[in-house]
Order: sequence, then structure tokens, then C-alpha cells
Amino acid sequence: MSAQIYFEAAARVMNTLIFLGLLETKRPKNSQFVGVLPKLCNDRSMSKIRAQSAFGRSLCRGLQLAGLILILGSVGYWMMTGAHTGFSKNRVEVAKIDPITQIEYVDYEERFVPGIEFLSAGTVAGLGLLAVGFFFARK
Amino acid sequence: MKNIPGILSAVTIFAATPLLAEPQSFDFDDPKGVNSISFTLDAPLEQINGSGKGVTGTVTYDPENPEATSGTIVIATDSLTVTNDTMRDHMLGDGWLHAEKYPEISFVAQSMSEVEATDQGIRAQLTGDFSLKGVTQTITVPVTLTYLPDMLGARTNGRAEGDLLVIRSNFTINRSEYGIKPGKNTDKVAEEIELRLAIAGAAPDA
Repeated sequence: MSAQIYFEAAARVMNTLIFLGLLETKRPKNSQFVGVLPKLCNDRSMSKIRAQSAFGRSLCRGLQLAGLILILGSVGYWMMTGAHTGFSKNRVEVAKIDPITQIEYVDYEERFVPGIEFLSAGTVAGLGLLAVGFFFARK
Repeated sequence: MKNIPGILSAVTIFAATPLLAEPQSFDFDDPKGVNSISFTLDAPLEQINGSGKGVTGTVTYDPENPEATSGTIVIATDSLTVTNDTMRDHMLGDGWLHAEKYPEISFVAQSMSEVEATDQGIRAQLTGDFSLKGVTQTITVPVTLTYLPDMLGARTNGRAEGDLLVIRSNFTINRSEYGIKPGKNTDKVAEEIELRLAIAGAAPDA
């Protein structure tokens, strides 16, 4: 079940990268599609949306790439550590049993488990970087 | 003269019988850190799990007369912990449990009823005064008492000999009844608090 979730997530990531033009893929020879980011940053036929210089294009691409990495990294880390839907944990409960009394008790292991606010912060920050990247692309 | 060993045995049994029938006092201060109370608050948006290990208190128990069980169990409020430091600070702060002002959570046993023997020991309904955040309510909770004679040595690696008493109880309280933000934040902090107590007390041999 979890393997299927990871596979679907990976497929979506690949599609997103192809869509944004950050990943090359085989396409028909007569296809004009090069991805959203290259089009926004490089297509000089667009009068308003274009980068003015090589530095601008690099900055645009860099910020967008950083934003994308941040989003994917946050989602990936969150999923790999158990996709915890509550708040982040500083410690994790570990159930133990006392061998003499058979008492079940809880001990704690100091370990960080990202929660939903970690995922939100990472995604918002990534989207922010993407937005700034697009902002530079429009300058 | 030949009967001296037999007489001595009879005297020993006679002398030991009243001792066995006497109630024993079990100390629940546990340096091993096993004694704890766990709690769960299952709200629509957040499930909060935690535990408290600062258990102290004494319980007087007589295996021959479990109905006469009495005693007090105390949990240090600031020993309660959850898996998130920020949440723990909020929980112990003046908005919720106010651990500084109310440093102890206690249960004082008053009476025991519906006592029945099971494979695990004695099962009964225990009535007592439960105090939380300065509010005391008389509640009745199900308990299981497991008497483990001569098991203290196994638990202390032979450093002390004596008996153990294990008390288990699962019950639910309502935080509103104890003045803990009644009716507020119920989407993230459930009104009902499920408590699970599992503690072992020791009665060392004199």
C-alpha cells in the first residue's frame, strides 16, 4: 500500500518536473512544448513575461528550482517519516513491558517527527520561492 | 525432646499466620520509572497522547481482606509529558493544568465494592476522591489488584526482598468537571480524558 503511494507520488513529481520544463523527456519532433518555466523565462515572443538577461534567467530558474526542491523535500521527508497528520513531535513514544510485573508503560525516544505544520511551512516557503522566481521572470 | 522440631514448626506457623493476615503497606515510589499514568485526548483535529511518571503514594492492602484496601496515589503534575515540547509547555501552563499552582494530581481511596477474584488477581470498583487542578470529585473506577508475594527480590535484583502489588485501572474523566477550560478548544483538545494507570508498589520485608 505504502509502495503504491510512493510510486504515485514519484510519478506526480516527475510529471510536475516535465511540466515545468526542469526535466527533459522524449516528445514528438514537431511538438513545441518545452515546459512552463523555459517558456516563461526564455520565450522572447511573449512581450510581458520574459527574462531580460542571462543573470535574470539564472536567478529565475534558481529560485523556482529552490522552491520546487523545498516543496518536494518537505513532502518527501514528511512522507518518509510516517506522514504524521498531527503536530510535529520532539520525541516518540515507545511501548515497553516490565518483565516482572508485566506492566505496560511508555518510554520516550528523542527523535524529530515532522507534523502537518512542518509540511505546511515547507510548502508555503517553497511556493513563496516559486512566486518570487516568477516575479523576477516578469521583470 | 523428640517433639521439639515439631513444636518449633507449630510455633513458627502459629506466629507467622497473624503476620500474613496483617495488611501490608506498599510504597509506589518507583526508581525504575515503570510506574506511570498514560492519557489520551481524542479530539476531531488532534489526538494527544502522553504520560506521567512522577508517581508516589502508599496503599495498604490485605490479601485476605481486599475490601479494606486504602491509600493515596499522587502524580506530580510537572511529570506529565507529551510528544511535543510546545504542547507540553501549554499543557502545564496556567491556561490548562497550571502545574505551578497545582503541583499534584491525587486519588484517595475510600471504599472498594464488587470485589471478585480473577486469574489476574482482584477485580473491584474503587471509590475515592480524585483531585485535579484544585477540584476534587468523588469517582468510582474499575481496578485490578495483582498481589505478587516474594517478587520484590526479582525486581530489585536481590537488593530487597518482599512483596509487590500491581494496580491497574482504566477510566475516563471530563476536563470540564475539573475546571480545565470548560467547553473551549474542543476541536483540538477533547473534553474526555482517558486515563490508564499501571503501577507497582513494594512492601519490603521488615
